[in-house]
Amino acid sequence: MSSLDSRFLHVGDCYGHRFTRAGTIPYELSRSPLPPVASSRREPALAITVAGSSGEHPGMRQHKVAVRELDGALLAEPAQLEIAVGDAVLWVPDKTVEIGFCVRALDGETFDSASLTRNSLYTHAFGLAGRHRWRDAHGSALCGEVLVTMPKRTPEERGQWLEALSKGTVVHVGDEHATPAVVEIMVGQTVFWAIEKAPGVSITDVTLLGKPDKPS
Amino acid sequence: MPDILAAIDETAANALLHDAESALGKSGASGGTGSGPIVLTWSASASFAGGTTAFTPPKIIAIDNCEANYALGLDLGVDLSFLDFCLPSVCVSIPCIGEVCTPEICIAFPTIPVPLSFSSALVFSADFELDASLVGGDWEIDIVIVSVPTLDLGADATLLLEAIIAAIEAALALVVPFGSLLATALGAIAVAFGIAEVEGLLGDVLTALISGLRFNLYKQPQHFEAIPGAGPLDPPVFVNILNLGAEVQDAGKPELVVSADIQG
Repeated sequence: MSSLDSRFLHVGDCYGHRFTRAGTIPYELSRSPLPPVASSRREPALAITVAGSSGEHPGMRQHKVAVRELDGALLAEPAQLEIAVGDAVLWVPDKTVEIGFCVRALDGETFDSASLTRNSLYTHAFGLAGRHRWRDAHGSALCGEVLVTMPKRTPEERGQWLEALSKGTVVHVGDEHATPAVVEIMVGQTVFWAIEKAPGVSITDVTLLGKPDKPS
Repeated sequence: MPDILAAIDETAANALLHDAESALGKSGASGGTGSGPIVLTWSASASFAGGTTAFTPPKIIAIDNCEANYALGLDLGVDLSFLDFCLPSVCVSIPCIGEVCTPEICIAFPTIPVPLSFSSALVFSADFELDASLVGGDWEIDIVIVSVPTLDLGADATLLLEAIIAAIEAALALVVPFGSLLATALGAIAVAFGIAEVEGLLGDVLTALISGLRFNLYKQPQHFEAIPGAGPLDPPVFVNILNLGAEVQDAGKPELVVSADIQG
């Protein structure tokens, strides 16, 4: 699948955010990990409208926004989404997306998949076996490791592997620490990074970063 | 009794053979085959060199150790639809957010083109039969291969299979995202297209190139000027070859004997 980098979402990745305040939040799908300058912003066509102001309702609902690429342009379906306070939205790129993108609120603070904050989520399905070390591309001490093993070729182990594909592994991110820092999965399995507290971090494979890896 | 008789020995025949090989240039053939997820079309050309002749009366000229230099262009299409699969939905429970599920992610694989070139040389021996015939005003003496000999393709097949697997592996790496799927794909391809299939392919290619192989040893216009004219009162003398024959005779030493009936 794609490289591990929350700043550039591809097929096999998802970005999620739970909305805790009412209001309409215009957003963009951008191929730049940096926010645009104000003058270059266009009329927003994409928005999440969070209805209700009397606090969170008890049952959180999950909504999906599919992202596809058509003639080089990124399209979100639905483009406009109405949800309730406390609901979560998951942006899911499909296989037409060739160049990764980020999902970013135009208010500059509510959510940004290139700079993950509280109530955000990033998932990645690992396609290649090996040791995948990751860290925050924004320079914090946040880092971790995903050990991805290859299932054996016996029919029995293949069956176990197929069963394991529907099981996810959660990494909790708080302050500048990941818990657990090291997880072990099999090829094809998905890791969820749940951002519980962070000033704006990324989950980025160290091989994509020019600087040497910090010792963990 | 023919009007003209001419004979050459095996040494002279070798020289004629090597001239004929050069004159033949390259012969070509094309075809296609398929096995499992692989569909394959090929085009090939070959040139021939070397070899020594041995006469066997009355019609056979055996050629030993003739070298066939062949070049093979392959266009493989690997249909990867057998790899199509879906990652299931994955649900986890996350504090502060609740239960979150990723959707099922399905991946469909295309048919990938894999072009490949391969060339090698093969030494073979075969019996050829003499064939004298009138072709468009020329008498020609050819030798025509009697049957395609058994060819030892093992070494070439191994090399070609390695080249095919390497080319497919490189092409697959660009489109198959999971290492385990890559192994599955290569495994399936190896089952469908192993050494036996490659030997079969090479056999088809070389049979197409060698089958009907014909070398022209001699060519003579049926009607030709035998003696040039020396003036108005001494016109040129023309000869018309009515019949031309060729056979191997053994009068103590085997020779290729050409006989001709002529009309002045």
